[in-house]
Amino acid sequence: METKNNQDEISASSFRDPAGFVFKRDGEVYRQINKSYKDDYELLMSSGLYQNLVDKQLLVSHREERDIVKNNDGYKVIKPEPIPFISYPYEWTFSQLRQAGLVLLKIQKIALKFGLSLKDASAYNVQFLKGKPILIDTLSFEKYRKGSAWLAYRQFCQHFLAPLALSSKVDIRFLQLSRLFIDGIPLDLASKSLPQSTKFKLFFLTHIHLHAKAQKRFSKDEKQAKKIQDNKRVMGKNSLLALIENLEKGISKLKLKNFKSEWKDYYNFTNYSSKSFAFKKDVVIKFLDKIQPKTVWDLGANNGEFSRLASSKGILTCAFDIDYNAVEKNYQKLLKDKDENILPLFLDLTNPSSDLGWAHSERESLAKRGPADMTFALALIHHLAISNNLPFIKIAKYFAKLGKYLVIEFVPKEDSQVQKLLSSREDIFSSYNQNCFEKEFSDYFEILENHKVQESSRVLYLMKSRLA
Amino acid sequence: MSKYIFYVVVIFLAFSQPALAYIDPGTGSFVFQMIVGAVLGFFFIIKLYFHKIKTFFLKIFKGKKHGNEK
Repeated sequence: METKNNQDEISASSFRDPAGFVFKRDGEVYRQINKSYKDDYELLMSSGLYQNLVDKQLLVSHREERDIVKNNDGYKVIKPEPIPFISYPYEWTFSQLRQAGLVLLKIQKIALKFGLSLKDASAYNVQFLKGKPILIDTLSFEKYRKGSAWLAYRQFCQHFLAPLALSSKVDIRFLQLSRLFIDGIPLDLASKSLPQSTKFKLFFLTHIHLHAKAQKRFSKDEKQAKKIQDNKRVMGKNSLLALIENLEKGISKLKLKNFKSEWKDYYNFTNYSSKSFAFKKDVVIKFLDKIQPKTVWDLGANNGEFSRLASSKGILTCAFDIDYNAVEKNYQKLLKDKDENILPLFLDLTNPSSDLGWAHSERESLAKRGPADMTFALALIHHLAISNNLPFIKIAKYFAKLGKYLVIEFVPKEDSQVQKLLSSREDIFSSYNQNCFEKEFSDYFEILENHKVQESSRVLYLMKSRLA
Repeated sequence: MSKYIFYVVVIFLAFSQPALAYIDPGTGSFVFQMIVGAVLGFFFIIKLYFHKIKTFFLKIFKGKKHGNEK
C-alpha cells in the first residue's frame, strides 16, 4: 500500500463531495473513494446498478486499483475510463444540455429500481464521450431511503431546467448564463426572466415559478426550516417517480424557437467555387495525413464540414463555433451519423471560456485544456482581425498556445467576405495583407507549407507552433 | 393560488424527512417537491388505475366482438 504521494495533483473541482476526490498521477486520472462512502459504493457495485448503467453507456466505467491507496481516509481507488476532452455546460448547445439532463433523469429512474438514488444532479458531472452524454461521477449515488425526497431536485432545476426553459422560451443566448452562475441559474431569476405566458403552463408554473416562490418563502422562515429538519416522514416512491417522469416529459417537449443566423447558409454564400472548395478539403486532408494529430480543435467550425475531415479519420475533433445554430446543426448531424469523434461546442473566440469558480480553478479555461495536436482556423482570420480589430501578432500568440500545429487560411482584403465586413466601416487595416500576416505569424510559428486555393485568392498554411 | 399551496405546504411539513445531504437541497425546494410529488403521484395512480379499468373494459368489449364475429 502506498501512502500519500506528494506528486499527486488533486483536481481543483473535486472538493465538495466528502465521498472522495479526483487526482492525477503520472498523467492518469484516478478517483479516491473515502471510507465514509464505502457502503454506498459497495451497494452501487453489488446491486447490479453499476453494470446496468455501464452496459447502457450511461455511467463511465472504471476498474479498481488495488495497489494505490491515496490517504488515511481512503477506502479504494478507482481508475475511470478517460474522458478525452472535458467540456462545460456553458459550451453546450441547447440539445446537448437537454440530452444531458434527460440522461440524469433516466439514471435516477433506473437507480431507484436498484434501491439507490442520485444525491446530486450537477451538469458538470455529465460529459460527452463518444458522442453521447455520460455520468462521470461514480460517487453520485447513495442508498435510497424509503420516504426520502430527491435531494438534488433544486440542483437539477438550476443546472438544467432553468437554462433550457430560458433558451427555449426567450433566447438561446441565455445558455451563457451558466458561465456566470456556476451552481446553476437561480430560479427566482429564471422566473423573472421567463415570459408571463409560461405561468399558464403547468410545467413551468410548477418547477420554476412556484418553486422559486417556495424557496423565497422558506428562506425567510427559520422556524419552518427547523420543523422540516426535525420531522421524520415520507415522500412515497410513486410520488418521487411521478416527479422525475414529469420533469422528463416536460424537458423532452422543450424545443428551440426558429432563429436565424448569418452563418447558417455560410457555404451557400461564400465565393468558393466547387473546385476551390474541393481543393481546400484536399489540402486539409493532406496536412492531417502529414501530421497525424490525435486531437483537432476547429476554432471556427460552422456546422463541422471541415471538422469531419478529421473526425472521419478517427481523430477526436472539437468543433467550436460562435453561432448556436451552427453548433446545434452540427450536433444534430452527429446524432444522425452516430459520429463518435466529433464534439460540437459553443465558443466565442474573442472571449473564450476562462478559469472559473473557487480560486479560479474549478473550471478550466480553453487554453488550459490544451494544447490540441492541431488547430484549424479556416475562414476565420478576417473576423478576428477586422471585425474584432485584433492585430495579427496577438492572434498568432494565442493560437500558438492552443495547438501544436495550425492549419490557417489567409483571406485577403479583396475577398468578398472581407469586403462585406469593410462595407460598413472605415478601412483602418493598412497592415492587413499576406506579407504582414506571414511576418507576424513567423514570430510564433514556423511556416511549413502554403497552398494558394484554386479559383480563389485565399491561401492555406500549415504552421508549427514555437510555444506549444 | 400560491397562498393555497403554501397552506398545503404547512400541512405537509408534518410529513417530511430530515434532509442530510452534502449539497444544500434548499428547504423550499425540499418541501415544494413533496407537494408536487404528492399531486403528481396522485394523478400517476389515477392514471394507472384508469388504464387498468380501460384495459379491463376493452378486453370485455373486444372479447365479445370477437365472439360475435365467430
